[in-house]
Amino acid sequence: MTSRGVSRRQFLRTSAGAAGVAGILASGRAPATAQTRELSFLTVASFVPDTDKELKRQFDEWGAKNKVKVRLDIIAHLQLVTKKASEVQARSGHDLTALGPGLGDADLYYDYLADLNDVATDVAPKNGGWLNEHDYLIRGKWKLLPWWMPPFPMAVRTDLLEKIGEKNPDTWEDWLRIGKKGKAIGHPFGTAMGHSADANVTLLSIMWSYGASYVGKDGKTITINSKETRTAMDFVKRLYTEAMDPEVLAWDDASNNRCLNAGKCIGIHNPISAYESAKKDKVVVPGSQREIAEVIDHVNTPRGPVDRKTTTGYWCVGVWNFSKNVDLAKDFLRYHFQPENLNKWVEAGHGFNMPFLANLTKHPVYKSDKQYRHIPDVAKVTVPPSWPGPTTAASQQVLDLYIIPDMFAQYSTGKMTADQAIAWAEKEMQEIYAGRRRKV
Amino acid sequence: MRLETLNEGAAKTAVRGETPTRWLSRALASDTSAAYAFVAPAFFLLLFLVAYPFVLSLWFSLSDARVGETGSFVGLDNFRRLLGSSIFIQTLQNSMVFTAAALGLKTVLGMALALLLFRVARFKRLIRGAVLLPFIVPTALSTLVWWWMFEPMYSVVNWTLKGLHIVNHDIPWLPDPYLAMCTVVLVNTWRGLPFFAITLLAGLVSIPRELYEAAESDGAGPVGRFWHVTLPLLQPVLAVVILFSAIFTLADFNIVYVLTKGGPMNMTHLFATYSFALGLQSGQVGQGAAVSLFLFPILLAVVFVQLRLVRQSTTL
Repeated sequence: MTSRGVSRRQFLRTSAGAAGVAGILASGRAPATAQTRELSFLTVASFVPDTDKELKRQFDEWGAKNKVKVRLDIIAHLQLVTKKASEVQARSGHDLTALGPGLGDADLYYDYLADLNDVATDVAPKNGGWLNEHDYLIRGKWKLLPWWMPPFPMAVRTDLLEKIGEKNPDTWEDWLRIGKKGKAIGHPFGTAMGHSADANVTLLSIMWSYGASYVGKDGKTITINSKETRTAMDFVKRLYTEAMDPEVLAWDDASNNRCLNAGKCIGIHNPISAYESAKKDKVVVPGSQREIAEVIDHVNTPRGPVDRKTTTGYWCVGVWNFSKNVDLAKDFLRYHFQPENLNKWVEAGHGFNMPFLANLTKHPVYKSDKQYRHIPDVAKVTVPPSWPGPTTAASQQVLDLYIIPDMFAQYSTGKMTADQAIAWAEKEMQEIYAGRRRKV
Repeated sequence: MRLETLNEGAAKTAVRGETPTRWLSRALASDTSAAYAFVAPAFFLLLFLVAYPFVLSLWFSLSDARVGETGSFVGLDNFRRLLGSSIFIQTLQNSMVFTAAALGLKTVLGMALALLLFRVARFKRLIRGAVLLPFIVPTALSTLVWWWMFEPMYSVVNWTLKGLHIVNHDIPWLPDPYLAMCTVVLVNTWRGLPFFAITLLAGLVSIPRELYEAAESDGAGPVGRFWHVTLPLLQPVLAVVILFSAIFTLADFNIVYVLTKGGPMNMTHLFATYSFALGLQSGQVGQGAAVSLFLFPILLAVVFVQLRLVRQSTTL
């Protein structure tokens, strides 16, 4: 029977369709059959590009196995700051994100990161446990997984050492002596002292090696004003004036790599990326046919009168809690942190990217080339930049504003006395820490 | 004449029982309503793209907002803290020196370039187009090239100077705090020069030739003609160009970020780069906004003085 041209069957079909559309609109979700699960991951380009290729391979493989459409976005590490901030501000963007350099993001974005306690607990036993578990807990929680660090050994030109009658150095004083001799023959020592991440790393390493620090264990007391800091500053002033060129004040993170690979610097404090690129590009020693990679050696991060300590970029991975795919993201993290996958990933990076997991520090790659032999030793003495204090948004801000490099530079260049430079840094740090406390 | 709002008109049409289309065509037929209708898109554009961000940043500067949070009201606390920070005081000084030096150079060189371009007869279009290149090329890209030229280790400028035996050592363009400031001023001048030159050239072209002929017959030389004819008649154009350039220069970000990142020792930090470091890198949105808004009263004063000068010179 039809009524005004509409059959009963047509009427039922139309009504059911309308009810379905209304349901979809009300729930705000596509029906299960039409849903395409998608997971996006924002990360930073590695200095060893094969690392990114391996990560992409694993992400694609996981996506294919789980029928999830995956998207890996790789950006330059300097762009990550603004990208993270805009995603948090908009509560929208990628599901998984690289965080860092440093653990400070976990404190800064604490309210926007999903808890990863379950994943951290799952992946640790399979990989021999976390290296220093308490360092990575922010306010007692796993808000991110520490992912990889590029340990900071010292790279040295063995041919130049021979020329000046020296052997592989071990202490900061050795490096000062070698730098002086090297500078005299046109091959200075090189470490950044300007607004760059490497400057933070090396100058903090020197501070700790001389017994100084900028914040106490309580994460509140500013400890920069000490006689140990003065000793460290005197040492850096000598290093700057006697063993280095003034250009280090304007160096970026790649400048020391260029200095070593161009045959100028006798030694640099840096991850193995300079050596890797020299080997890959077959860079030769200027004026000879000899490959520069053949005359580079890597030794442990230097020891000071008090300690042997260093830091590095703590690159981490987290899941935004405003993501609609938190469980999927955690699932991928479990997959990526499986021993076989991490092993392949470390191998692809030629040891540049060392995970914060005990078994991975013993990866065969570190025995595959004598250049990598000290990297596990460096990892053992690597601590977060806020050491001995906890990582907080304030400790991260001290690094972001380059207070420590500026303190050293102001004294080394004679712009300030040691006392003035320390007082300046102390005031800036106190203001940063006080400003962060007001909010809590 | 009484202004009738669109809503009132709509209400009346509803009472009269007119169709919306008929009402719209009637409304547009009236000059006032049509004017409002045409101005409305621009008004809403300004409201959402200028007024809203401005009010929001004003709120941020008076709050302890952080990334992802709107924050709570803290009054002028952010500004008080900034004034107690030696990095900010340094930034303030840097911004003043940078703007004054770059504006001065751009005005003098821009005028010289405009006068040169005015005299060029052959390949006029090609040369004028080429002069605009620094202004057209994306700043981040062109600044990277400048960075390469002044790069601490392999500066091509140093290489050339040494090759020509002008100097016998590397000049620390970027590591030296004062030379670093000179370098960022130089790059900003290079980038902003075409804006000055082309705008002043347009002003030069519009000056009647008879005035020069009259000045010449009165015995005025080239300097006299420039001083008594060109400069007074270019004053309104010059004032507007300086006004715009002051705003752009004071708010510069790319050049400093690419060349020095505010270093060495914060000696090249400008408002925008320090605001970026505080607001985005450290997540202190409130403080970052306060740094940016420190510019506002300064710019307001600059705009006020400039516009008064323009008005005075045009009413004379």
